[in-house]
Amino acid sequence: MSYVAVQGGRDAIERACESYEHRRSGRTSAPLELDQIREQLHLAVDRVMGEGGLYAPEHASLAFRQAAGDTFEAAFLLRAHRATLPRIAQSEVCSTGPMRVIRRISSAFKEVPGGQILGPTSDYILRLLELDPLEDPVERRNHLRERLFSGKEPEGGIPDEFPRVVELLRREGLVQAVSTTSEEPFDITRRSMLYPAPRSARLQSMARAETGALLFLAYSSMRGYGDIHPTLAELRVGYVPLTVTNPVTGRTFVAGEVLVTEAEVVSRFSEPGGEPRFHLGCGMCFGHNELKAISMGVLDRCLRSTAPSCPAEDQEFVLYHADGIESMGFANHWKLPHYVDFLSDLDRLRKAREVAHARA
Amino acid sequence: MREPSLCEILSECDEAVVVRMLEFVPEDMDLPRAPRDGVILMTCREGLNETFHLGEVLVSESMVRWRGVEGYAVVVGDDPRRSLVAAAIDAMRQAQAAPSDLEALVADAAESLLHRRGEDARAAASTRVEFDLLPGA
Repeated sequence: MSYVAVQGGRDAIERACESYEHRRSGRTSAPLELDQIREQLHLAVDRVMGEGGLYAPEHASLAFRQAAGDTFEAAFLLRAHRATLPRIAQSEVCSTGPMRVIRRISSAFKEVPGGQILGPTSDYILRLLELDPLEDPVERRNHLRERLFSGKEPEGGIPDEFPRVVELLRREGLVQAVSTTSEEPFDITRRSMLYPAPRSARLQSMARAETGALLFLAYSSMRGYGDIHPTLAELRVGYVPLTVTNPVTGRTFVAGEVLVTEAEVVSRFSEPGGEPRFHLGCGMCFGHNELKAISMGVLDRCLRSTAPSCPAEDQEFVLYHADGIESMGFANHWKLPHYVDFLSDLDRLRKAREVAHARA
Repeated sequence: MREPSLCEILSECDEAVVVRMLEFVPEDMDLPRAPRDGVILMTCREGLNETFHLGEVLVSESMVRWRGVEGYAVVVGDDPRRSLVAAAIDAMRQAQAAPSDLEALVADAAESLLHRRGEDARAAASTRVEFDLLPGA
C-alpha cells in the first residue's frame, strides 16, 4: 500500500491549520510563555531535546508549545530544525567525571564514595494529586527557597568529582574490564547503520530514541522476555562541561554546560569457560530523564547478547523501532490518501468474492 | 567549584549584561565570518571507556580579528551576540586591551553564575542521605 498525490483543498487546509492554532491557544487562559515551559515543564522539555537529538532548551520549549504538548511532534520539529543548521565541530570527548551533580544515587551499595545525593526527586513520596494547594504558588516558591537556602550550609558540600560506583566492583575483578578500543565512534547522522551495528552506533541511536519505546523494550527483558534483571549501580544527573577546540589556537575551552542523565546497570553473567562476573550496561541521554537512561542501560546490556533470544536482545528490532520520529512518521502516514491502493484492494476483494460465490 | 570559562559566562548571563557588554565591542573589529548558529556534535565517554556521540548541542560561533589577533568563541545557545561579545573579549584580552569596566562586568557575571551554581550545590548537599537497613533485613 502507498499513498497517492492529491490536489485541491487549499482553503480547507489553511482553515485546518488556523483551527489547530486556535485550539492550541485556548479560549480564556493566558498564553503560555516560553520561560514558563522551560522552567516549570522542564522534564517534558528535556524529553523533547533527548528525542530530537538536539540540546536546545529554548527551541525545545518552543516546539513543545507549538506541538500543544505532543512530545513526538515536538521532537520532530526540533530534529527538522536541526537539519537546517551547519555542524560547526565535534566536541572533545566529554566525561561525566567532572559533572556538576544535582542527583546521584546507587541501588547497589548503601554507602558509596562521595555519598548518595537524592537531589530533586519525587521518588520517596506518595503520588497523590494536590487537589487543594495550601499556598499561593509564588508564596510556595518563596517558602521553598527559604527552606533550601536559609540557615547554615549543609555539611560536606558536593565534591567536584564523584568516583564511579562500578569501580568498587572493578577493583575486585567482579565486573567486566573496560574496553581498550580506540575506534572513532560511528555517527548515525552521517552513515546508515548496518547490522550488527557497532556499540557506539547503538548508544547514539538509543540516546535519541523515544523514552516510552526504550522503557517498553527494557521492561520486556526485566519481566522475563529475556534475562536481564539489572541492579542500578549508579544513577547521576547533572551538568557536563561541553569542551571544544579553538581552531585558531588549538587550545580547548568550555563552551557551556549540558544537562545529562547517566545510568550504569550491572547484571550477573557467566561466560562459557570464564569466571562469573557482572556485565555493565550504560545509558546516557540529554536532560533529566531517568527512565530513559535506565532503560537504555538495560538495553545496552541486552544488545550485547551473543545469541539473541527475545526482541530486546535483537539489534534490528530494538534500533529500528525505538526511534519515535521514524515510528510516528510511519504511523501518521496512514492518514494520507491511499485512495488508489484501496480501490485496487476493493476490486480484488470483490472479484475474489465473485469467484467464491460461483464455486459455492 | 570549577571556575567558569568566558564562554560559559556569556552563555548564561542576563540579557541586560550582554547589552552592556556589547557597547565595549570596538567599532574597528573585523568579522572574517558573520557570527553563526550551528551545532556541536557532543561526544561522550561511558563506563566501559568507549566513546559515542550523545547528540548535538545548539551553539553560536563567532570569529573576530582586531589589531593583528584573532578572537574566537562558541557559546551554548543560539544568540550570536553572546558569541560575538565572547570572541571580542577574547581578542581584546590577547591584545591586552580589554577595558577594566568590561572586565568588571565579566567578573560580576561570573560571580552571579557561581552563586547560582552554589545554590544548586547547596540544594543537592541538603539531600545527602545515609539510609539504614531495617533491623533483621
